Amino acid sequence: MSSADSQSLAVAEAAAPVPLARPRGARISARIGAVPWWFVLPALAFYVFVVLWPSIEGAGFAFTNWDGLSATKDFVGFAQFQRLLTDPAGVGAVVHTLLIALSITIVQNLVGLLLALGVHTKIKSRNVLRVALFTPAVITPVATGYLWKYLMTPDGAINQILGFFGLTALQHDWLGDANIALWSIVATVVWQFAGYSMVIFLAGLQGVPEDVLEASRLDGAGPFRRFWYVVRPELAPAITINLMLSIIGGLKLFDQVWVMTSGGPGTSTDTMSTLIYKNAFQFGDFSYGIAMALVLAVFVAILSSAQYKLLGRQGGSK
Amino acid sequence: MNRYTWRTFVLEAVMVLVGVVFFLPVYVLINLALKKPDDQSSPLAPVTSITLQNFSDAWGQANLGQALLTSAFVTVFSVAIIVAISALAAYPLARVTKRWSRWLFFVFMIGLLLPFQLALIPLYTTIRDLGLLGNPVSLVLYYAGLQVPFSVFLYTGFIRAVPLDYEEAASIDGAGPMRSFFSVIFPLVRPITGTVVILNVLHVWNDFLTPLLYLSGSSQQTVPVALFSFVSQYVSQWNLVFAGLVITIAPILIAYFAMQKTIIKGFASGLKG
Amino acid sequence: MHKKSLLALSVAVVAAVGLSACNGGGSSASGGGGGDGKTLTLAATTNEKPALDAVVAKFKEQNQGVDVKYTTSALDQYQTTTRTQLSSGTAPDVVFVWPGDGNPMATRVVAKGGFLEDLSSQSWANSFPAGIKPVTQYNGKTYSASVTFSGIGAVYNMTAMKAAGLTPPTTWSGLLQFCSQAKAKGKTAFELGAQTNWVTQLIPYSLTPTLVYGPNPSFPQDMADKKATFSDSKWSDALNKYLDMQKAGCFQANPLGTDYNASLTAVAKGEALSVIQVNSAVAAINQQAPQGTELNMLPVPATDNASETRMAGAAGSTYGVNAKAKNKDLAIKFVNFLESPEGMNLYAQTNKALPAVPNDSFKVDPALATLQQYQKDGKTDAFMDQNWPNARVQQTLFQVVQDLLAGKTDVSSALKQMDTAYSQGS
Repeated sequence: MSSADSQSLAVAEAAAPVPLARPRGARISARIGAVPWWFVLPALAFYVFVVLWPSIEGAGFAFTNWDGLSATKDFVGFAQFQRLLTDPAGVGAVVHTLLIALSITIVQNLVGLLLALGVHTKIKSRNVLRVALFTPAVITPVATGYLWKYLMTPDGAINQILGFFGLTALQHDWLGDANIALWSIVATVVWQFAGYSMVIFLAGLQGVPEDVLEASRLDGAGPFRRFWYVVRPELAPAITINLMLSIIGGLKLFDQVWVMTSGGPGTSTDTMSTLIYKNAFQFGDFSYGIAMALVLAVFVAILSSAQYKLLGRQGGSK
Repeated sequence: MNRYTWRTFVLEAVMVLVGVVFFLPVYVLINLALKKPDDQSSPLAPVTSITLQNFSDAWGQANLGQALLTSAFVTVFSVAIIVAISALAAYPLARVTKRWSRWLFFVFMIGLLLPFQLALIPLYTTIRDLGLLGNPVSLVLYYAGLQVPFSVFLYTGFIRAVPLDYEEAASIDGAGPMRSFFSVIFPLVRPITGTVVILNVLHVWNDFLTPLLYLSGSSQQTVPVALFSFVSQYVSQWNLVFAGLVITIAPILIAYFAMQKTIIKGFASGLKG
Repeated sequence: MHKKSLLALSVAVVAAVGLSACNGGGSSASGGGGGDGKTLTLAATTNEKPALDAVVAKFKEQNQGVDVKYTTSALDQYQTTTRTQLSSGTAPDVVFVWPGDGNPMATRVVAKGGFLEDLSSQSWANSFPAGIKPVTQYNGKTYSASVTFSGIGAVYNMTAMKAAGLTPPTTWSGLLQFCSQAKAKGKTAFELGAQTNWVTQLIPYSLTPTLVYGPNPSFPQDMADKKATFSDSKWSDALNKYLDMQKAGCFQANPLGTDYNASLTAVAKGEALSVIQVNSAVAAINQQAPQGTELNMLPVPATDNASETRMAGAAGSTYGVNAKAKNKDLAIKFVNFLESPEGMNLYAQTNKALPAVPNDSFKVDPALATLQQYQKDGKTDAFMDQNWPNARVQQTLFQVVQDLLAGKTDVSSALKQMDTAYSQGS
């Protein structure tokens, strides 16, 4: 066992005896004295100034017809939201956004989990692999977009490799084919962030008690039963954090799409984020773009809190 | 699982293969950056005559030296502020169980959901009124606020799991809450601080639209902005573009390699919190 | 971290932030210059950089003690940042604008918001040829200064053409025949970089002057008056001919997976014989092509009567003066320099375009001689989007062309979508 492993395990054990239920408030202050409320002030000040107040102010634009440039704007009530309901591009973008978020969440976490299980073993290359697999997560998304756009050109590296192995039937116009382009983008994002998920899963795996695992193996439990009954409960916090991050990231995905296809061919890869950008800054339809952004916020809120509830709240607060 | 069996060997082979596949695009990136522009060989073929000309060209033409300095300034100071204020705020949020504490935590979490487009124009106007446009300080201010929800989320969870014993001991010794926080809590949450630092560094270093907007017109640009305008000008010269990419991701990769153990440990223990 | 070191760090942070805030204070107004009458600020798209390098150097040479700070950014970013800056009053003194309408940073869009200075009283305001003058105006007043004239045509690699024993077609049937001849020689006739969205419009733009706008010059006005639509015009012929070209094998295998740069590279290497592009592509291909490669930009025929053939040619690089410019006098002086024959010719020469106002002292690139001739003969029509009421129409055209090439829509529904976008007004 490497020193990194043993150290993190030590920390994990130190945290382990904590009871799951939070101590009652009265007991806390009796034991450690009152914690001053004003500790939150600096963070709250920055947060309100930069995020909360400007967002509330900005949300107001959704109820106007401002074009983003002129000096005049009128109050139009919910007209922009009504437009959204009848906009075929809007409906398509919502579908694409959900497809992207769902597939990224599933595939990225599945790949990340398998990678984590793979390198959380006795293999000699585990430390090298942990670095190699995390490297893509460090690269600017704009840059990975350019890199993969280059790899995915019709006579680019991917098709060359497929040709080399005689798999010409699998060669595609990865970004030019409207039926495939969306999945090519998903693949790029999964490549970039699977290592990110892996590292978080790895963290969870440090807490899996080796003796219980060994005991269940001696009892004749197969790898799947061992995973489900021994490993999975320990991974719950890691799963919650990973799912949160990938759902929010998938729903808001912009950089890679913009660099690789700008929403094309046609509208086949338009997402809510690209449509917000196009309307707000390219069509001179700023208020409509903001109305879309509000809808996106509601989407993210519903989906992320649903999964948070579904998996229990231990992930964030245990 | 304690011995290196033939099963382990098969797993090793599979994992190495997966690792190679994952690393292949990065290999293409570095390989092309080292090739001469007139080298017509396949992007997969290893470079035969290495040139560093692309790197010096990209460095000069995209003004990357200046950009790296600006990015470093913004990243270091905003992450330092984020860590300080988020850890401080998380302490009462984790320890006070009164209603206002739960509500305030919820208010912070709203920040995770809001798309950046909402605040874009109002915030830009405010930054303008403060006279901070074209000044990297505007970005430090921006990230310090923007990244608070995420960092508070991680810190609060972790502090909740720290046993009360240490603070209790400190309090018996007569330490006030300030001293408890600085001498007991902050050192205890060092592992999660590693996680908070690396996630925030990645975000701040890689952000694109905000620096474009706030620093537009000034001679100071961050790395992604300098790179993007460089790319749009030379996009057919992939060797040059990729050399630029390599330069800009190198500082982060070097820092990551150097801190690798701490980071993975940070993730690991941070998560156990 | 220890309490003391944390304190020290906080102090250092505050000090450094405060310090750099002071340092940055002087240049805090976006765009740099502080309105001292000596420092002009300017912003444009990346494509204009080489020409700006040249004219700014000349302008500074003629105006000692004056500094010009200019920034260039990619098109998307330019539109986003400049609109935000204009609406917040932080835009540079001189801004790059698009001629006419139909773009978020077009002259009429920006002038309508009151962000551009009225330049009607400048001496050059009335000197533009008929094809350019209207697109510099809004409500009868001049708000922008066009520096160049640019056109769209087929840029042929004549060296590769000679090697293949082929000549540029002058009729529509000749063009289709040319495509199959090129294919027989293993070459692509017209390389198409349709992954880059604005490239998709260039073929309709080069066909409609002959099919729509030449025969019916009042078409743009009729559309504005709601007396004509895309659907019931010859635009359908143009889009059908686009598809005919695809069917005839005029393009390479994967136009939607090929971007602008890749398409130029193919022509530079001689793998493709031609690309339908804006004149600036001539310079870009020259950079990549082997020394001595001969290029020629020619009209794209759309009918079988060669004498009917017209070209899309219109105001190119155009600048406006920010109505809230901090250095308004200097800004006007700079624009006047751009409009002088000296400034205009220098700009056009560097950008491989034609001057907006034709003059005899301009030495035309041989590859653009045909475009110049068409300009002189009045056989050009403005780029169509310059007369569209909003930016959505053009973006819709990009999208439907990609859909058409992918077989995801048909010509009549494509034109209906464009009509819908047009009817949304400004």
